[in-house]
Amino acid sequence: MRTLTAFLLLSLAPALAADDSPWRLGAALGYGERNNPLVQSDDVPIVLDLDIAWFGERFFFDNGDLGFTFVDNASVTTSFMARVNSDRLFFGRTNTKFVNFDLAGAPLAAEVELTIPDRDYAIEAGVELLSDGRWGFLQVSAFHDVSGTHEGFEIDANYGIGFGRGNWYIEPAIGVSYKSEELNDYYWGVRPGESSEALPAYEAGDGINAQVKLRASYYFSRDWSFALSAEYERLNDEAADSPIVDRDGVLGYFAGVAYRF
Amino acid sequence: MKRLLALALLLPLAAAADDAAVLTVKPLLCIIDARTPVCEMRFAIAWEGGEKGYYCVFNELETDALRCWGDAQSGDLDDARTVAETFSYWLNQGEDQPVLATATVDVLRKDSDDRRRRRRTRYVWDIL
Repeated sequence: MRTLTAFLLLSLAPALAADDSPWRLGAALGYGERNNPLVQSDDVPIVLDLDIAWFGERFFFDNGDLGFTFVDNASVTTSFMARVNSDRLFFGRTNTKFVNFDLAGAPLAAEVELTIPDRDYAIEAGVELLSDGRWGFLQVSAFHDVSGTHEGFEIDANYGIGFGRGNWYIEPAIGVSYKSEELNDYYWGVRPGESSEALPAYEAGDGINAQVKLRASYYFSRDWSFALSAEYERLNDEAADSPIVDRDGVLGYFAGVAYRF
Repeated sequence: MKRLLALALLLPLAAAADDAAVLTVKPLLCIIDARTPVCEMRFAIAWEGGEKGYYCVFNELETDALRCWGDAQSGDLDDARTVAETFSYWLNQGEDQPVLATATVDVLRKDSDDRRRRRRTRYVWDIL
């Protein structure tokens, strides 16, 4: 599917490449990984990253996020938003194993099946505020589940700033995300019905994730660049203490060649 | 994709030629944003003509030639200027003569009038 999308992107590119186009299209080919904090799970490999976005006067689509802008002035841009929750990503890459020990390392009387509980995608709606200036770029958002999946909410704040030197452009960023008890417990908790000898029940409370990110690009030209990206997200304690989690953070990196259409 | 990659390897050289005429300008890229709205650049310009003659280097920002050479087959010069928009240099054999070679200095603007274009998404890897 990604190959087909990439082919369509390349085929349509000349018609969409104008500077004043509402489209923003890009592709990066290289290698990277994103750790999976879940036990018995595989890391998420990244070989091809596509950037597909369209910005109309009011409506916009940005890589899966949908928005309707209702305030846009010299200071701020504010939009109603809809998105898919990002926590679900990790649950698609888990494995089932038969174990003789529980997750705390204690021996079990007999071998039992250990399966990481499945979790659904949640559609979330909310409001996002953007502001920028010489001081950098600020993004603050609040989202609530509207799909009846976790029925919780999340509040995010991100700050970034760019530095150019020669053909390099470097963008460090920091961010925090408050995750409500309902959201945290849905993804990182273990319901009594899901528990077993190997997997104890667990109830997660609310918490704050913290994130740092560094993105560096060396531009060969206006369109071509070599992109480096590294990101670390510290899970909130309530998620990190879950028996289905064996890492307290998510480390991601990528290096590759990027093209902006 | 192969064609695009091949183009990528050629782009940094970015010297256009008309048969034997070559105009090379370095650097060819200026990156600006809200904190750095212009680039203070010094361009190293070099040209080679197919045969000896009268040659001039122009750019879009000035009506007069930056410099002309008589009875020359090659030449070079430095040009310092403040850059905020994409523009081109070209080589010809005098005012109103056909252009023999061009080189374009691109400006990459990292900020945008539409600040939604700078928002970060958490759904994708968000590399670009």
